Amino acid sequence: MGFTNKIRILKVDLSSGQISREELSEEVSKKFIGGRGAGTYLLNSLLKGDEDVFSEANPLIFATGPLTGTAAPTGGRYMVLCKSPLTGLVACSNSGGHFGAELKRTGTDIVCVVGKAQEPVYLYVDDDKAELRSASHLWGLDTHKTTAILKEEAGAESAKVACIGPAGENLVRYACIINDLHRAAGRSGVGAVMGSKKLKAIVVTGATRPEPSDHDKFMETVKARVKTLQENPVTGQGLPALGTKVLDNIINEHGAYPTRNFQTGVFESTDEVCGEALVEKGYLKKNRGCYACPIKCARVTELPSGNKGEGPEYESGWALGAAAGVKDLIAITEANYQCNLMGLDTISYGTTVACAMELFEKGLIKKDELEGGPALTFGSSEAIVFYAQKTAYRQGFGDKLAEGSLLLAKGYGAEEYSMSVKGQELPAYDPRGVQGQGLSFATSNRGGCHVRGYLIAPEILGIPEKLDPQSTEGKAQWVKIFQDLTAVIDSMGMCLFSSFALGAEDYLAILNAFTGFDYSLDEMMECGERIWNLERALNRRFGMAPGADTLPKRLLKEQMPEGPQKGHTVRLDEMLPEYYELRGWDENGFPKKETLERLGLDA
Amino acid sequence: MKVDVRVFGPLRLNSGKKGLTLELAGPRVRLREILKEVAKVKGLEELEGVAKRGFGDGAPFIILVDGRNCLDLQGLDTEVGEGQKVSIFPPSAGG
Repeated sequence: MGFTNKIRILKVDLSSGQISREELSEEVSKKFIGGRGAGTYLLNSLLKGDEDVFSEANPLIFATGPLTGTAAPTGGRYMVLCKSPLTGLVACSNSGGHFGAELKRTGTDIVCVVGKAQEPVYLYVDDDKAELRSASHLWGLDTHKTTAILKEEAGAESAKVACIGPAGENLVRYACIINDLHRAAGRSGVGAVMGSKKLKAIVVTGATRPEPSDHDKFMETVKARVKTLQENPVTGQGLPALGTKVLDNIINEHGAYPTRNFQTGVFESTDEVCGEALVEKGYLKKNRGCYACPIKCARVTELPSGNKGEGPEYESGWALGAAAGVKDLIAITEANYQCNLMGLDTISYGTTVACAMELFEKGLIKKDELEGGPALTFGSSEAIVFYAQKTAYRQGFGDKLAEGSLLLAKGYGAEEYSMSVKGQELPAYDPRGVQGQGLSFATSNRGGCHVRGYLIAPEILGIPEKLDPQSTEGKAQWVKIFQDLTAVIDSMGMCLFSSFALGAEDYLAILNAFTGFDYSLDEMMECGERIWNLERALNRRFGMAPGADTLPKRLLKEQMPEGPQKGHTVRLDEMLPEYYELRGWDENGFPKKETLERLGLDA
Repeated sequence: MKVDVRVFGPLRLNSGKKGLTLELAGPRVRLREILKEVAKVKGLEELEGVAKRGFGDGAPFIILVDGRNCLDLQGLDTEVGEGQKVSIFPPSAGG
């Protein structure tokens, strides 16, 4: 198949069993790039706004970007979009591995699933052939067994599988989709929507390489950026050697490592659970990369018990560790394996358990509610492992944990102990030590999230330049630029980690060489801005309340009790009005009419 | 005076040390001088280059004094006194 800028959609209606093909025009492709942008465009055209998240009407969209499956470095990413069961807002979850690239090789850019199947099914795509097959024999199986059986049924090792585990089947509000055994479209509960459709898996195998508009120019552009990534000390040395867990000590030494449900920013046992300890204790076996990735940050691990898997990565290790006060690296790693097998988002699972631990220690959750399960005390390595399966199967107290921290805490009249934004749990940075990251968390369209504007890079890591983390000056502009550029990278189908070495001009060069669109830098950044605004406009239709761009009371009102950030809170009121003004939004945080018109949005 | 220095990431793995306590002529010593002392330890030699040439372009070493990045203080001219803690990380990122 030759080059095209049209976006090729495989549409699957599970209610009727009908499979059809559609295309989005070059004009849509130019305005929204693909991936996250094109998926958001589709959500906007398919949803009125008030649909129930588990209804037939909620689509589940698997979207690759134009660079997915190409030779672009880190070009193996895809997004999963729907209305989120966790937040009720836009769910837009990114994953790596090899599934996205293989999907592209079938000649499809986007799989759009609507409706619901009567009995469990999986979608099998082999180049231009696509069919629904029974998955009754797979229902109830974990993600690893499911993947192994489906690869065998496909009869090709090259077949790639994205599937749900028991958590998705049982509609756990933060169930993820696991592809290639160890990679996850982790956040916002996309796996639960897949479960509600009785869609157990998608299997893809293809032989059609995506063609750039100008092959020679594209390869030349790409080779130069691979070299940049290889020569950069972070992407060429730091991330390959220790993975993301190199951050444990960095963030902890800054006093921004959220501990025991964000009660403090210093974890006294970081030394026991950090990335260095994973090496020193011999659990780390090697690193592994996703499709076309020169960085290779994934961790292949094995415990003394013989249990093997990948991870924990920084976020997962923190959520299953310091967030719950757990200092046992074996328990953290085992809980991580369990989450991957069950198809649970590690961040929301760990932090929901942490919230439950605070509720338990404050006497709000009673021992007899746990139905014989281990006490939910901070530091319990037994609890963090035990409740993973209970949550996935919604058994005993796991049924309450499966609702996420906000609904859990509300059930006890103690909403303030849910460390979430818009219903999604916050990740591994206490923003009382990092003001711009606080603004980024508060304004994220999908709720608490670190990959919608990673201000940790400039504020703590000094990339691309060092900003004072405690200053609020100019942070609104930084957050806006980071949010817009992130939307561009996600829509292209590249990994955000490439941005530790590449800048906006590099993405522009790669995007132009592939599409031939000849964007200017401003036009490319405007695509990011357009996507961000469309997500926000969709959120308004989904019922996002004015004032939702905020943080848990603890982070705004309670001073950090100790460490380098002692005495600080997030000074959101110093940044939010400026951010709204830069965005062209009203005081409630919604795009003004003229902003939507300027961006050519009909939403 | 005594200054506690902790090293992380590949620095910790290469040197086999989590940290060291330096005995220095006080009352205050510039960070640059501390790095030169630390660079005498096997596995930590690359810090000599940082002490001499500074951070250079792009992703820098991350060096904290009591949890504050020296770039938010006076860089390698930041003065360190008795009982303060220096933390050194090679260029790193994640998320």
